Amino acid sequence: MGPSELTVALAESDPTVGFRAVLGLRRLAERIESRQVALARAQGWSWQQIGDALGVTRQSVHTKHGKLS
Amino acid sequence: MTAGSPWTAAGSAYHPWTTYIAAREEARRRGDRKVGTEHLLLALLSEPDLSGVLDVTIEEARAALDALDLEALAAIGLDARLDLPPLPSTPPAELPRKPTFRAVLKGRLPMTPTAKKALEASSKGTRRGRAQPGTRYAAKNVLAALLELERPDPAAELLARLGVEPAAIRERLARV
Repeated sequence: MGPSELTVALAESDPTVGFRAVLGLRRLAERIESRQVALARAQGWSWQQIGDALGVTRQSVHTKHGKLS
Repeated sequence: MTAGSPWTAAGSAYHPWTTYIAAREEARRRGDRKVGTEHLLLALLSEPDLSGVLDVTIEEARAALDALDLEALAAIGLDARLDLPPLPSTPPAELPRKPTFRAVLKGRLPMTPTAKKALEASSKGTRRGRAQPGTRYAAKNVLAALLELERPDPAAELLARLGVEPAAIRERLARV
């Protein structure tokens, strides 16, 4: 799908559905982040490196995902 | 009531923080950063005081929420196969029945304004304000507050999706 198709779909959708999609994307992003952090840890990344990649401190990554590993 | 528990008023086994913790774990599981009304509803499905009031399993409710998300993403043109497994969280069976300060504060997530209001309704019809000695809480007040909500509130959307009629639940709730 190209960018123009997404624009069309956004313009046509009902705001109720559109807002749900916004939140759905956030939830999806969290799930992807969780999975990627687990993957990075399995590959030997330090919390510092993961924090750098995500643009947050290592403490905040560890607080959020520390239970994973 | 547990002696020494700061949360539980005499004669009342229910405390809204039990619901908060269960709701927060549902939020975490879904990847939400805030505890919303739909999470409170999921939490109340496992509330013993309300058994038999809501004729829905937690699995059905979770699946309904996931389906709503995938449909919404599809509606804006995103591939519904982007679905991913839920995040790690504490399952309802392992949550404390009587929450401690520590359990509430550990891994806490903020609530949406509507969720906060609904949870505060737990002490409706009793003494107002914060947990004073003698404040009585009831799970059914929280559910009643959730049933009042209208779409597009997430709890109302979920109930509609599940085909649950708020009026029918209110009737059953009156008999609890």
